[in-house]
Amino acid sequence: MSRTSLIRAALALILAALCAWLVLFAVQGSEAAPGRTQTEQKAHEYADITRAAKAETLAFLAVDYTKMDELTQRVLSGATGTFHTQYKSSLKSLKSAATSQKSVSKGSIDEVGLSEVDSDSATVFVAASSKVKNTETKGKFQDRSWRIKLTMSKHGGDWLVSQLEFVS
Amino acid sequence: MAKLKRDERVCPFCGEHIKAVAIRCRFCHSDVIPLVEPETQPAPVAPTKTTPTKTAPVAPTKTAATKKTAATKRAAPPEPAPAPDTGVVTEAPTRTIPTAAGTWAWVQQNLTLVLAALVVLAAVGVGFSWWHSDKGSSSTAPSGVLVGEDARTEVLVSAADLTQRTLSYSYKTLANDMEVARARMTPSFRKQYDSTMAQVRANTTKNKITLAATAASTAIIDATEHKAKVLVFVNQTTSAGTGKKQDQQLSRNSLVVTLTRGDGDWAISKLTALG
Repeated sequence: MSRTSLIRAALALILAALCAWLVLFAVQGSEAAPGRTQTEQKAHEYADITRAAKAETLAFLAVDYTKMDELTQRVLSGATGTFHTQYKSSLKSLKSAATSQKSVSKGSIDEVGLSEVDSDSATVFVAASSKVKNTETKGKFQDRSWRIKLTMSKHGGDWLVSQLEFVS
Repeated sequence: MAKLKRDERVCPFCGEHIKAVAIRCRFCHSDVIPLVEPETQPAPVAPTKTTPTKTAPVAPTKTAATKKTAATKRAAPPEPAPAPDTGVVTEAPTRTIPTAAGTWAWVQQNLTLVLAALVVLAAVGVGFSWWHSDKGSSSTAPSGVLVGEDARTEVLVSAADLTQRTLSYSYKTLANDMEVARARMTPSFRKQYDSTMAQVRANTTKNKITLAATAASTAIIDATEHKAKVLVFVNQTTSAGTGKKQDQQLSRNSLVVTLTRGDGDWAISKLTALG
């Protein structure tokens, strides 16, 4: 084999590798690059926070007097700090109130927005609504809407709610 | 001007005297077609002195050959002869074709090289933009998400400001309030705003109505460099009348405010009430 064809073979190999890499970039975007850049990391963080905030708000708004233990447990698993303490201490009254009023409520998320976001804490606002049914509504579902402020903090890899307030 | 020497010719592009065997003009660097063979290389078996311009065009070979081999083989007879030093098949005198086509032929022969250069260039471009985005100087992620802290704060502040401007006005200063609000709206939203205000204008003056909106909180739903969706919790006080007869109402609303921006400030382009 001559030198020329050797060079060409090597070039072809490099070209094929580069082409494959470029195609990967075209398909996957920057995900094709090894590791995550700082900005990508942040964008991922935003998505994580939003997801966690949605899940916890839905858990918080869900009420069914027939399975309060299961539902409240779900709220606690996404809670930490003040919110965890407060919610836990109100569990008993919550359960008895739900049972006596035969409460059923199903929440839905309208929008979730992020306010301040640090590496391990975030302030999140959630516009949510729920359909509520209890003895007061005479067994009919009523629409409620909520303006909720969540203070979240990162524990391990998870974002948990440390404070939940209604925005007046 | 010096007289044209025996081994010289005139460059068809710049008119300077160049060697007759030159394949590139030393003055203007154009590719030229050599007229005669290098004198150091006597034509071997050619029966008559080959004049390449008259040679019947031979089917162009696909074989890629460097300039050097092309030059050394030029005098060879049209029949394919075994190449002495390389595995490359002898090339026919393709130099007789016009320059434009010659360049094309060169590109075809060196397609790998050309492509290599292009791909390497593209790879350098990708690498550079990757490195650039990694420096953290950029306020957006590659996916377009706005991540810069200052940029996001600016969105939040603008959303609060623009929402309040749009939803606040007083019967006393209506024209001025509207001007303030209209200043930072996209044309299409301004149209909507104008038609709404045209409807409430008479009532506002008649009943002495004042609307005061306060953004209780603002939060980014999603934002890019040029477009942002913001969740705004707004408290709006509506007062009608004056003095003791004044009537006040407070409403708490959740809004989705869309902002857009060209090069300058954010402008409000949409406002939707939730719930």
